[in-house]
Amino acid sequence: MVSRNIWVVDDDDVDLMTYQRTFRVLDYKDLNITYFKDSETMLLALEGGGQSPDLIFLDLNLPGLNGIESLQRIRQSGFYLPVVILSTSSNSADISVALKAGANAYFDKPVGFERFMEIVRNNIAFWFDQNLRK
Amino acid sequence: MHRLISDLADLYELALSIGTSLKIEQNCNTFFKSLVKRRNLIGCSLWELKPNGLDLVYAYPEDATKSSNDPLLIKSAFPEFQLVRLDIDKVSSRSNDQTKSKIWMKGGDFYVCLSESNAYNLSEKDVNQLEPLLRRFILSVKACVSHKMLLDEVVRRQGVEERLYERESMFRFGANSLVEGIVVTDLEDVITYANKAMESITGYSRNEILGAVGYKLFRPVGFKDFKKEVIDKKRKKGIAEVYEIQQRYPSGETYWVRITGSPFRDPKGRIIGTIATVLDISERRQNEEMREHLISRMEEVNQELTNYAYVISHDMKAPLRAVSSLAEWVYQDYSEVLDKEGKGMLELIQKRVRRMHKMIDGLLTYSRIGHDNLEKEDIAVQPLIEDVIDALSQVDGAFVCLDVFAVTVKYHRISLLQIFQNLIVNAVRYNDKEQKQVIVRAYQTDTDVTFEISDNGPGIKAEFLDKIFVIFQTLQSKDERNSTGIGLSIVKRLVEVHGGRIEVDSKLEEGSTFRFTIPNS
Repeated sequence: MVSRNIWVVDDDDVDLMTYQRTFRVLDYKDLNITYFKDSETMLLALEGGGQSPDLIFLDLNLPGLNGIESLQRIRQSGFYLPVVILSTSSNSADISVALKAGANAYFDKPVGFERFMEIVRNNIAFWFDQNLRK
Repeated sequence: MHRLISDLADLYELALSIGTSLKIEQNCNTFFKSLVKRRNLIGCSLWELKPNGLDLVYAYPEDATKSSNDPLLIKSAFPEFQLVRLDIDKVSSRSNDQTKSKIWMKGGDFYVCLSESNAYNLSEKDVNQLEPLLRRFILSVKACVSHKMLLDEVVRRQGVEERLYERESMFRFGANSLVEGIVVTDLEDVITYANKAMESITGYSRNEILGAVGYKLFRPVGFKDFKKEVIDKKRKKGIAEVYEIQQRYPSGETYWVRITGSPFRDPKGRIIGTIATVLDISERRQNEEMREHLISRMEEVNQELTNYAYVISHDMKAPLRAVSSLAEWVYQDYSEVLDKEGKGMLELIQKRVRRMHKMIDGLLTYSRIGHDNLEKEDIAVQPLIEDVIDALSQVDGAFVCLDVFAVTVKYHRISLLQIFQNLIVNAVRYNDKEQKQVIVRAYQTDTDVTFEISDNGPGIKAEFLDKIFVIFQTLQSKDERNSTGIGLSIVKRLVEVHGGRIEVDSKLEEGSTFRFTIPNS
């Protein structure tokens, strides 16, 4: 089984903890998760030509380069991997801007860990065409 | 003689046309008398005119009255009929009955008839004598006519002048008591008239204004070349215009006036200048500027509020979520360390966090109403409400009756959806009866639609009725119902933002009816 790389870009400690906890609970094998607390670092890693991710969970409200800008940079650099926005904003303007910038999906960060976990699980199932080994 | 007679005839025509009858009568009398006096020379006859026709009455020289052949004279036996005709053709041939009267003249009550004398046997001597008489007569009639004409003209002119004077004094009075300035200028914008109000409007005295060149004195703001732009291009072409311009006081400070100008013409219709009213609109302009400023400030504030709401939603929800997650993990990870009370507290944290989250969402929704594009569409009401009910788990088990069959309304779909959602959920959520009942009715008129959502719930105390639409206001403990107190405020805004209105009737223990009316266009 080919291992998959998932990158998570979020500056909120608790949200990062939520991701970590989610992946811990879901306990996928063959899945490498990399966490970034800002988009510049993530873009450096991406454009640096190392191992590229198969899926990115991206926050919008980020310090420095925000989610939309970094998404545009990702697309401009010629990366067409799926990028899923997970943001606190449910503003329709934000959503349409994100989709125009090249987001593949947009989720409102839910209150409650269960909901959060469900979103992550559904996305992995959707983008990786099914069941990663547990 | 011919000439004289026809002159006389013309003169009479003229005299008649200008209505100088009285004078003519007097002159006729004089003439007649003088004729009579020269009886040795000229005979004459008078016919009295009766209403039923002419009745011949001869007038003879006074002394002839004594003669039986010469029965009568001037002042007729019928004094009420002063219509007399004079037959000159009888002159010197009293017995000649073949004479024909040729020219009749009416002088007042007199008819004077002159005939072509040379047709008759006027001797040269007669003619010679008659001619100067006639000349004098004509002259006097002429004098009389011209005098009358002159008099009439004088009277007419006097009348005109009086009226003119009257009008002018009325105009002056009116003009000077006006708040509006009135100004008359010639084609070079030289001011030929200014009323009193012009002084207070412009800050110049009338002495300074009169004779001055308007645009040089008042110095309108914003024109490169006032003469070219306004006077040559418009005024000289007779273009009447209303325009608002800024002018300068003597001090140089500016003020706004509205000028309503129209071309000023001479009696022949040629444009000789402009007459204009000038209204000081500085105050109005100031108010307008103030209002515009306030409006733009309000728009700014509104924008700030929207942004603020956005920031709230974004930045305030994040820590909430964090609190929620952390509380959950503490609960999960330290479950064995926590006693029942500790776990209860964590649950409370969760509940509060969720409510806070809902409040923020509600606030965001509330603040967005009216900002988003609220395009209207034709909506069939029944399917819309059915969708609402299907989507609401809270309504399960309640009896919802729809009496809105075939009602359609032109409205913003999401708004209407939210309105029904809130009202129906409320009708069920606060319902304390075993069998919860909600009835939705609709009444359609040409211009609007009224909806009623009635429940059989506990009802609302009268003193709370006006509070229920206030934001964050709930009538029961928030914990009890897990409500945010925003729902009805959102409903109210969604109704009012489209020009509708909402009200509520309620009877304790019997239920409440929310009634909202929205324009159907």
